[in-house]
Amino acid sequence: MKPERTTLLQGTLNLLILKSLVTGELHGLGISRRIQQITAGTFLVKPGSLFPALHRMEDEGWISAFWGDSENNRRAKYYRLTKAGRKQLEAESKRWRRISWAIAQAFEIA
Amino acid sequence: MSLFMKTRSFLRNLLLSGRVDSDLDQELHSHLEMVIEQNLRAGMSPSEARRSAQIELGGIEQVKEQVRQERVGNWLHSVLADCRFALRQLRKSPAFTAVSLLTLTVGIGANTAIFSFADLLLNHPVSLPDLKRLVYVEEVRPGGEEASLSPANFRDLRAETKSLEGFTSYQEWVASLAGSNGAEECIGVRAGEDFFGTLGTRPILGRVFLPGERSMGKNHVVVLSYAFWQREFAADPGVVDKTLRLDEEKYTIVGVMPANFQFPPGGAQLWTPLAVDDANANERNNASLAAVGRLSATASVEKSRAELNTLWGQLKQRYPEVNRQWQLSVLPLREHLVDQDSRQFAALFLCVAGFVLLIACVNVANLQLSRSASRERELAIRAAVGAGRSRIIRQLFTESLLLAAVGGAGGLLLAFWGLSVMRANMPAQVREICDVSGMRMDVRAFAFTFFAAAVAGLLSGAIPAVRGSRVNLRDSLETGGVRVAGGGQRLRRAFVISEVILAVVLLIGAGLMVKGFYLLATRQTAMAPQTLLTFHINLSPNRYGSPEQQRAFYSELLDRLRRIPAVEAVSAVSGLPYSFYEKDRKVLPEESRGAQFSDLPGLMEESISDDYFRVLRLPLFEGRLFDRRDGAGAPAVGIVSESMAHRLWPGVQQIVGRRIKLTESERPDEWISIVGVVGDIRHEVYDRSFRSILYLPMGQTADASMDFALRTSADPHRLVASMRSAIAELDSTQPITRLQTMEEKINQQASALQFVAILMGILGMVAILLSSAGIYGLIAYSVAERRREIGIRMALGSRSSQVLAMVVRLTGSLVAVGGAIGLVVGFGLAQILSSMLYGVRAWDPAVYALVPLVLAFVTLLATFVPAWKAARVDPNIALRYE
Repeated sequence: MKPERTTLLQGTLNLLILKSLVTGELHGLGISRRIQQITAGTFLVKPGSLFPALHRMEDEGWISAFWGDSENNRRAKYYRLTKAGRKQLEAESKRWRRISWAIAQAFEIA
Repeated sequence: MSLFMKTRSFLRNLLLSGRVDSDLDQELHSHLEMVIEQNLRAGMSPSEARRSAQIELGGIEQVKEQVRQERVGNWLHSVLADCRFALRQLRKSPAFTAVSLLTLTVGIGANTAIFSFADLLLNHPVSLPDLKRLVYVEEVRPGGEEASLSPANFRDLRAETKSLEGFTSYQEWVASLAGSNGAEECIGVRAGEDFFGTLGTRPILGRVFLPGERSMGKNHVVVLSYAFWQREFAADPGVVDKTLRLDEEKYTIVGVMPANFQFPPGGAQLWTPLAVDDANANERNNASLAAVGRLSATASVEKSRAELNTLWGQLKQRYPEVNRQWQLSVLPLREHLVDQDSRQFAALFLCVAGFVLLIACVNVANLQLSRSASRERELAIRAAVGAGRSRIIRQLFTESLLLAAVGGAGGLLLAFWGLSVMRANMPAQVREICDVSGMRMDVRAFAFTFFAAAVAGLLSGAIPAVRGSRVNLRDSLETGGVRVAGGGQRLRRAFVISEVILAVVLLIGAGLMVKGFYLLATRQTAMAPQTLLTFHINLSPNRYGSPEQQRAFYSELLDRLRRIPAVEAVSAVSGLPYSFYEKDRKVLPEESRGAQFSDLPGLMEESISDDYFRVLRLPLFEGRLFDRRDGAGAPAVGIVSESMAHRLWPGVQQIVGRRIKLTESERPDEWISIVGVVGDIRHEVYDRSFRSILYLPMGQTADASMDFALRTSADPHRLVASMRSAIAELDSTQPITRLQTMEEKINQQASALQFVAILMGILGMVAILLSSAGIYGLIAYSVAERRREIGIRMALGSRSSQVLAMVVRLTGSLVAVGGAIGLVVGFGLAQILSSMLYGVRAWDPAVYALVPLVLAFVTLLATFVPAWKAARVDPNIALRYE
């Protein structure tokens, strides 16, 4: 069961992270909570996948990071979308819609 | 944009890696704290909240490692980290590092130096631009006899060929140079049309010859070699238009060649135009010209060979009486210049160098293997904190490559040093056959070194890396890295055995070479070479044109030399032993009249004065020596060497009285009666058997150049002054050359072989040293590994001597197996070696007795320290060790 979840996440993790940042900046825990929330609890992103993905996307320039204070006045690293990130989100959403439409079609015909 | 970002991230990750890393650490810790707070709010107890958060995170270090692998530039970063880590690891085990580095440095260094030398022998006999497009053209008989080209044949080929864009001829010429302190001999070259242009070289001063200067009378111009210009004119830049007296005639200097121009090889000092008179130009019989051509842009050697052979076919048809038996040979100039001996020795050197490198690699691999076994625990810990399998393999590879790179750099330095030492000590004889100044670490030698370094690193890295990555985490951590001797042992033992085999083979080779040289140096005791003074005289054809004049000069000179006090006997001969003399003739014994020319046996002709055999101390076996009876008008007589007698008349008792005819002699139709048989003498260092020699009395043959030998009762060097004045009284302009004792002559000729023997000896020593380091490594490691076992044995009552015996037995069995195989393999290779060196037998008892002794001694030395340590193991400490 576990491997299934990771394979599903592989393709969509970037998209979900970008999507979760649309409404504003978040720290790592916040992002994982937000993803859980917007997917109605379907995806639970483990830190072992989340942090490598965040750092890779930061290196790509899609998100940028800064240190800020958390809701409990704790120093936390926050991420926000960059311009390039918004573009990427658009492109990936388009791609995703196409794929999910195609898959849905496939199931309807069958 | 994206590329820009990536570059920025790459630089940041690389340059600010410390900050990036601590950032990540903080980020993860704050994440952990937040999860804990969240858990507390959900009503967990503090310890439960922390535990659950840690489980969710799955280990900060592992997450960090995962993040690092995702980062841009991670590969370079981790390579650097690997290097840093590898350096730290290597520093931590200095003995291992030192032995590995030494091994690689010596292996790679020796290899590179030898490779450069072999490359020089094989590929750079002479430094000429685009050497591979030059071909050497000569006439060859079906039997293999070679001659140069005759002037008329050369002229016709040159006029017709289209495959050669340049085609030139030359003749070597020994000239007498008039100087302030008497005359001396110098080596000149008569250069044909477009000689310098064909060879692709230009003078550094002045000009080369004009086309008009090739006609008789206008040819008194000369181009100097760089060395000659330096020596005779102190590198005077105004040397052009000055004059020289060569063979009593005035020559005007027109140019100076660059320092690296030396053609034909063998120390040419000056070049003059090859003037052709009409009579000579139509000469088709006498093949007197060496010919070199440069391929035109579209031609290959094969194409040119085909074209020239077609032309040669036409010449054969047109002039059947002279050209019928001859064929044309077209060879790359390099192949013509590099002789069989050079090729064999170069191949030998390459083999030896390969052996040394192999030993070095096996050694390093062995050391790595031993070490990786003792590092299992460390590797297990690294695996436990999240290092992937590929990461660990890469780490181990990095260590080996780092070692190889440093070792390679050290090797390069060693090779530089070795080459400069070799260059400085290169015997003259080697200088003659190849362009030593061209010996340097060329690009290919560099490439070869780095290739060798990389292979050495990978070879030695591969096995530990593969083994090391198969670490079983739990086992390794539980046993704490101390295991019972296991599978790796077998591989390491195989390594030691193969090292011993290689070293023994090399030692046998080195031993045979050294033995061969020793034989050379000591064989000629009967001749007493240290009391023989020798020199060479070449009479100028201008003043001693006829055989009668030459004979008169030589017999007068012999009389004067004989009168010098302390001279016991004196003799003239056309070529003394060890002076590279050749004069091949075909002989027709009376019994085999009517035999084909090509079937006739060959021999060497020597013209001698009466006392020759007394001076050289050769025994007379039958008949008589020459004396006053055997003058110009008397019946032709000859004396044969023992091996010639055996060849011509096998099994015959009475040789004296038999008759032979000689080809190419002054009196070809006359029967020569054999009047005596004398003992054999080795003529040249490199001869593999005695030559068949026919001695003729000087009164009946003539030679413009002769060697002289004076048997003295005093130190030969003290006779030089009186000898010189004896010659000067007779003819003050006559130069003498090659003034040296016979001992010096032999040493000079053997110098190349001595050089080879010393090189082989050094390489043999290197091999045995490296092998002993390997043996030491293995034994020291297995003693450390079995410390506990030894402790138990001692606790149960084993005595020190028994433990000592156990360790020695282990080494002994390995070395015995390796040594035995090595002796067999070495014997096989020695067969090849013995065919290269006269007097060296493959089965040389001294060498085969000595090699195992050396091996045993070195083994004992390598075993002693670890064995002694093992015997002193204190069971209390050893058992508490864990």
